[in-house]
Amino acid sequence: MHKVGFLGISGIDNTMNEGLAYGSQIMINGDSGIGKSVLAAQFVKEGLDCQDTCIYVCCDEPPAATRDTLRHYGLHPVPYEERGRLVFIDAYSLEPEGKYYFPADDPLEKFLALESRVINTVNGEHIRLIADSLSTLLIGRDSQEILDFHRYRLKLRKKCRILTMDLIVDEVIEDTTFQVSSHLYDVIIKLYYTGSPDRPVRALHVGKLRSGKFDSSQLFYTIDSNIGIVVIPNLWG
Amino acid sequence: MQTIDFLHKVLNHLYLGMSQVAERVPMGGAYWMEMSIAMMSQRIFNEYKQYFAPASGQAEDICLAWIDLLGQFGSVDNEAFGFKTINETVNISVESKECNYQDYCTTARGEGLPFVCPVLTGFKWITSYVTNRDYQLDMTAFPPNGTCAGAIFPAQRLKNILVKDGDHISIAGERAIVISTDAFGYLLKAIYEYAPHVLRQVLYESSYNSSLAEYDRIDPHYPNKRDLIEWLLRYPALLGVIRYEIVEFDEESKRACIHGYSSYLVDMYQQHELCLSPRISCHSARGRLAAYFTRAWGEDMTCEETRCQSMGSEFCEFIVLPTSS
Repeated sequence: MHKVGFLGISGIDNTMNEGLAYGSQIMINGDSGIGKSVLAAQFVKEGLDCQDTCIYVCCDEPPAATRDTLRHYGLHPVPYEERGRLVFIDAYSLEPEGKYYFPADDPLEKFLALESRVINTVNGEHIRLIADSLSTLLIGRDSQEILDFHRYRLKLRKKCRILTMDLIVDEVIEDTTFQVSSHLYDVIIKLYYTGSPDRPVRALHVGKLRSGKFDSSQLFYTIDSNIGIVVIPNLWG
Repeated sequence: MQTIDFLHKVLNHLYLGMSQVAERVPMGGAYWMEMSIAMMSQRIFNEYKQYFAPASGQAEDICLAWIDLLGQFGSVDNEAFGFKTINETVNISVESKECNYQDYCTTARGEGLPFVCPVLTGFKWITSYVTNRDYQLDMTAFPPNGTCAGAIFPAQRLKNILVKDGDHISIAGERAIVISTDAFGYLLKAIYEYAPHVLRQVLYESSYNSSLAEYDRIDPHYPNKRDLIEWLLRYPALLGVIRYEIVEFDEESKRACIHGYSSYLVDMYQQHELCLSPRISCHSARGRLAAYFTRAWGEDMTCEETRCQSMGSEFCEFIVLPTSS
């Protein structure tokens, strides 16, 4: 029986009866500050709990800030980094300190090559790859280049059975490019604010484009300071 | 073989049998042996107390009076014993060849069974009883040296972290209860069903907080931090919770690596389906270790489980390190 992966957020995981096959690709999409990186931290925590190896691409902040986020949600990254089970790619810092870094202005093929090199270097049968936020890497690039990059990258990751999570900030990528790119993912989780402007409520829905097996109804959630995203059951009874 | 020699053999085998049972009894070990010897000493004292006449209330005189009582019936040779008091400590030596329990002592220690010296424990009991003060026994030499030696002194350490007294069991002075894994499993299952996202945290924090309290109760009795942690890590094995083995203990860099075996939570997670997919599960053990080392090293420590028997590993691996590192 093949191992399947979960996000590590029970309210969402329960909607995915069979879990995610390794090789699946997840897009997390939402406004800045809605909780995408928190969700990514929980995805890493879940992966390490299940003995996966996690590769985290930091595009919006340095790896040190991501380490702090992980620590904040109850996972100390150091023992896992020492064992090669958590690896950071720094695509943010001007003067990176880590082993793997990517200057944000370099061509996307170079990023792809670096990502593939890291994947080939790490140990572990099951690998999770997180790009936070992939959209930052795509700013200012030509639509065709973005689409070609997306298509080729996701095919490669699927072939290597990497469970991939890409974080995309709303409205950073041009609409048509975003729509076409979205179709390349197996699962899209959209995070957004709803409710009245005075009392906004965080909500999400899970969409699976191909099989429609997921329950895509709206789920409300909050961000607990120790746990992270907590889906609120039956908010409206 | 004369009857007396045969009875002597029987006596030693009786003690060996008791040691074998003590080893198998949950929460057993040397403590139960000590209790048995203390109760036997009490019975002997009650029956023959008219022969007990200590010269003073000093510990050494009490020991001498006890050996006189036993010597009157020829069960021991008074000349084989030596006593020397330094401050409040009575150092006791016995010529091994004169000891009735030599076979028991050698065999039990050779077979790795819990061993408690009946002779020196008798001294400890009578001194505690007469002075109404808790005394402690430390053995310092055993038969192969030709002389057995030990010392009794007013108790500084807790005699055992786990004790049963009347209707109560206590761990480090705190009342404890024994429940089946089924009962505890259903409790965890209920938490998981209503709030799955808190289970990991609940197990970690509950264990962390209770372990801080345990540490604080024991701390005054142990000046050496490693001795203290070893002592604290011993009792979960007696309770069938998990058996720990310290692999690395680096006080300078504040890093520790502990291996765990047979954690009850490994079974619990699988039997009660407390997760959607196999994962590391010993969060109570993590919380306990983080708490003990936080106190021992005076800095907020955390613990990660990097390998787990629930994932097919030979042992669970716990890494303890400063939270801020």
